[in-house]
Amino acid sequence: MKYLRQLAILFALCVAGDLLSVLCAGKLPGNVLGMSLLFILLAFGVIKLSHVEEAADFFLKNMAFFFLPACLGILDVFPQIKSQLVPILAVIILTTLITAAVTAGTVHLVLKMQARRAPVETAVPAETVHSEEATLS
Amino acid sequence: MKDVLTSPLAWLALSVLSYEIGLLANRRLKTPVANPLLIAMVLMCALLVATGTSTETYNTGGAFISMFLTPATVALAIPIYRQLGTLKKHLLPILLGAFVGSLASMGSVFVLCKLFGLDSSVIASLLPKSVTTPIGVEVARSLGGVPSITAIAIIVTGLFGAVCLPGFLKKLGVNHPVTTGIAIGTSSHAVGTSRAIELGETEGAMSGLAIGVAGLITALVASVVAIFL
Repeated sequence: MKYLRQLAILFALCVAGDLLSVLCAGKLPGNVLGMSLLFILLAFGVIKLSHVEEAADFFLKNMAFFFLPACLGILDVFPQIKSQLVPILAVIILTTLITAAVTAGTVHLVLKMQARRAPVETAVPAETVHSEEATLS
Repeated sequence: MKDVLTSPLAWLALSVLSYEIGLLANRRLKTPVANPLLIAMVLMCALLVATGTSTETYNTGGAFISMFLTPATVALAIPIYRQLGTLKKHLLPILLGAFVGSLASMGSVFVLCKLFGLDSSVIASLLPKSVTTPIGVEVARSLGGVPSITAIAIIVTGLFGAVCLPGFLKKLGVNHPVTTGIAIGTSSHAVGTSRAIELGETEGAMSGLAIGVAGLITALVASVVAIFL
């Protein structure tokens, strides 16, 4: 009964997300809005972790499995992309490296600025600041 | 025999079985290349082709599996909430890193696709390839992409990230756990995060948080882009 109630809460959040998506003219996906809604309700204590935890963990632990049907759709589109396979793979590999490098560079700069501005009271813990300086030297 | 293979339950059972085989192989081989989903996908593709079953027939059962993608995405709020303390502590680096990184991802995908002369439906399918699958697939659909191309591109991105990014970042001189974690999570979502967890607790937590933030930012940016398309 507990699990059914937890599932019901998650399903209700999915429906609420879809409703919100319709309200903002479908510009944001309903699943993202449902996720944001759950986060807000958790943060404000309207929903407690114990209300959804087990059912949510079931979905999270087995997340990849639920993508299997979507992946099998490749059988239908393979003829369409067969001739573009090499450039597609090149785009995937190169952009993953670019994204990681740009993200790392940005975080590095932000941490450096935070460490410089308030070395003691900063949100970054002392040992983190220290190792950051070690990185820079 | 024919009746059995057109039953939705048969395909549901075979899907679960192939994924279980993938999990088993992953546990035995202990390498990110032996990804359970990738193994299940190869097994099921082979089975569908061998039995001459169309994806339409498969989806009479498969649709039940896909239906749970929405609650699975909604559940992503739980790990973000559990990491609320870490999120608050490193709010600025996470937000800015994931924001700039997500823009770099979409920007570089667009430029490289144009450079290679790929057609627009493929570009729309590849744009959200660095974010977690449920968000990426929805974003691709809203931009006029093909969801199954996006799903595969996201898995390949994750696998590549999990295998290559720790070494790549080290080569760049990155040795701060916060930086490494956010970079891996932003560029290669949950599959990359599974590797970040092996690097260390901070790397794992940062990577996990970056998945959610990058996903949200990508969805927001795509919704703005969609208005101008």
